[in-house]
Amino acid sequence: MDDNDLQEHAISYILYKRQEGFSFSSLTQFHYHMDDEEKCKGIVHASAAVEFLMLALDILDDLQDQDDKEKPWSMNSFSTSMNISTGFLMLSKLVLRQSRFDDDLKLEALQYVDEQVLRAVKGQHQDLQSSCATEKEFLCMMKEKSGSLMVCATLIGAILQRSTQKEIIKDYSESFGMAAQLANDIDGLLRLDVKNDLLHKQWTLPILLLTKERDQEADWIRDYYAGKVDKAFMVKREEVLFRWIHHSPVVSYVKVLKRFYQRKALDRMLDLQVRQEWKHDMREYIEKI
Amino acid sequence: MLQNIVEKLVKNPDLIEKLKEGKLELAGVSEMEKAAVMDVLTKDNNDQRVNVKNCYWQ
Repeated sequence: MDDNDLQEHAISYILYKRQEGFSFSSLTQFHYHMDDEEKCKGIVHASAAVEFLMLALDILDDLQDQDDKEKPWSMNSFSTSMNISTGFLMLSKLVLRQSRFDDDLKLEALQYVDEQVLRAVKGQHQDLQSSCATEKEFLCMMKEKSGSLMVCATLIGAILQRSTQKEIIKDYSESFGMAAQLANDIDGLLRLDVKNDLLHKQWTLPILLLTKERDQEADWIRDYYAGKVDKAFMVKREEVLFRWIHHSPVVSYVKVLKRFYQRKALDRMLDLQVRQEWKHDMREYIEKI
Repeated sequence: MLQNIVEKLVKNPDLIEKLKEGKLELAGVSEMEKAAVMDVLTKDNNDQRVNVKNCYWQ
């Protein structure tokens, strides 16, 4: 990616992503250092590979959703950003392949990248089709779409350290990923600005559950999603809607679900045979979302 | 089942007080689900006190 203009765009995307709160690559490094705190240049490259991968997928997700016009990749042309995302996907694998680890470890890590990203693609497809009609279907979709990416980030670090605890790491990473997705969906519903998921007709679990309520506000939401009323109708009623949503038992329920998956992740993480200090720090990661 | 329980508790805050005091049993849910319910519904919900007048969908 050594064209100047291409590099300039790519760097702007990387810098934008850096300012976001959550870092998959730090999880990769953290899992690499589970048993060994010794500094290692190789894991810096491997975690950069993870960050390239997640950025590529993030760009594609935003282009698919078309609901955030402020990100640099949304402000450039669709084709430019898709092309750069492709570049990041390839860079991710190249950087991982060139990192200073034994070939067998790199091969295993690359296999996991392939498997988990393909799971994420499957989950993303279900999400894009808005095909989930029940809570169970939503939770399955989230496990594929979001659980898989968390597994990818943590397992790469663990594999490169020859961890023998991959099953435990996979289990809690999946639950952690689901909790993170639920947190994202709660935030998307409760945010007061124009990026609100409801306004953009996003199809998420809390919104599905709201459409099943019997109040007048639920009628409005159903009509809006069915195209029977327009955005102006919803904007006119925004205060009433927000008040109803914020006090709805649905929001409390989805928060309970998120907390359930956080507890599930914490519980399973504690099965690891690692030093207490590491577990304490991992607990903080899980509790922070 | 869990959703019904959460709905009943949210609509009847006095039940949440009984839950906090250990005077209420939640039947039909796992221990982990119970713990999640306790964590969410018995904490001070500062984030629920949102000023909806700050919303701007325009």
